[in-house]
Parts: sequence; structure tokens; C-alpha cells
Amino acid sequence: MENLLALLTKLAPLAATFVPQAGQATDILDAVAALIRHINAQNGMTTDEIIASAADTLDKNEQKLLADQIRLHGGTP
Amino acid sequence: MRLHLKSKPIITGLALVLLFSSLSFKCSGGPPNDPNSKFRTAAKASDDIAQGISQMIDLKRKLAQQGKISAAEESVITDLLLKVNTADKLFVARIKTMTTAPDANGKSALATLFAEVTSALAELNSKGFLPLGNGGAKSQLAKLLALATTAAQVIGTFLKP
Repeated sequence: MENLLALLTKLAPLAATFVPQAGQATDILDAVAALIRHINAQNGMTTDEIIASAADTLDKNEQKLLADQIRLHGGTP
Repeated sequence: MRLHLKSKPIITGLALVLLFSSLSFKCSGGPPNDPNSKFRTAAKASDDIAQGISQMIDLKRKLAQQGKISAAEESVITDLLLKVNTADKLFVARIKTMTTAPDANGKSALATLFAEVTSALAELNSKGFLPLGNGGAKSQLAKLLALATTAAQVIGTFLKP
């Protein structure tokens, strides 16, 4: 699975050069590959570590979204 | 059977959901000395949703930079993503406070909190993604949302009485 993902993520940018609209596939493939890597990484973790990882990701998400709100609303989140 | 061009994104999306679901179940086992393994399914799925939100944030930023979604569309999606994120945060915070396997009341409390997460995910789809003018942007964001929703269904099964 890891090898297949590595191959697909390497081939996708190449396809983007030759195939119209293949760039979209690259974006989505990167995102899906990141999700699958994340799920695989959970394998060796305890439940407490997974909960801590979720809390950490959610905190980072909140920071990013608040920054986006400030950018989009011009200073008022 | 011939595949029409329009059906290809749907098939790709379904294939991704299937892949994601199978991986979620495959990776359910943890270390043998895991003290809180009874929460593992819920913890994993809420972590998967958190990661899905993170990927959606990155993708919507990229789509906005490429001019594929407008500032107004990005603003709506940002607000709705924050709503999903806040709901998932409350759910994770509740799991953190639990020290024993949830009884019927505990599961009911978790189910109530989790209903907020699924409701926010549905709202993100109906008010954030479906109205998008650019079909490509809509399709990409919807695929990531489908993955997060699959994770949500895993939690739903865990919370059944």
C-alpha cells in the first residue's frame, strides 16, 4: 500500500504536465495520501496518544481557520 | 458497460471511501498494553475527522489561491469548517474525561455530542460545497468530505446502544 501510494504521488505531477485537468488529481491525491499515512501511523499508538493527536490537530485547525477568518473578513473573525 | 465522463468522479470518490473504510477497520488494533482500548474506535475516528478537516483547510486555501473559489465562497466554507472542528473538539474533550467504558448513559451523552459533528458535516456539504460554482473544486472538496463522513459513520456504529 505504501509503495503504491508513493508511486501514485510521484506519477501524479508528471501526469499534470501532459493531461488537461490532471493537476486536480494531484491535489486530491496528496490529500488522500496524507490521510492514509495518518491512519497507518495510528497503528502503533495507544488510545491516549490518538486522543492527544486528535486534540493537537483540532487546535492547529482552529488556529488556521481563525487566521483565515481574519484574512477573509479583514480583521474581524 | 461504458463509463460516462460525469460518472468518473463519483466512482473515484466511492473508491476512495471504500479504501478509507477498509483501512480504518484494518488499523483498529493497538498495542497489547493499551489501557484505554475501549475508546479506541471513537478516538481513531475523531482523529481521522480532525485530519480530514486539516486536509480540507489546505485544499480550500489552494483552490482559493488558484482562483477556483471566490473569497465569499471561501469565507462560508471557513465558517462551516470551524463549526465542524469545534463540534469534534467537544467530542474529543468528552472522551478525554472518560476513565471507564461508557455505559448506556455515557454512550447517550457521546451520541448527543457526536450528532453535532455529523450535523455540521452535513451543513458543510449543503451550504459550503454544493453551492460552489467551480465543478472541479466542488468535486475535490466533496471527496475529502466523504472520507471524513465515513470516519463519522465508524463512530456512529461504536455509539449504538
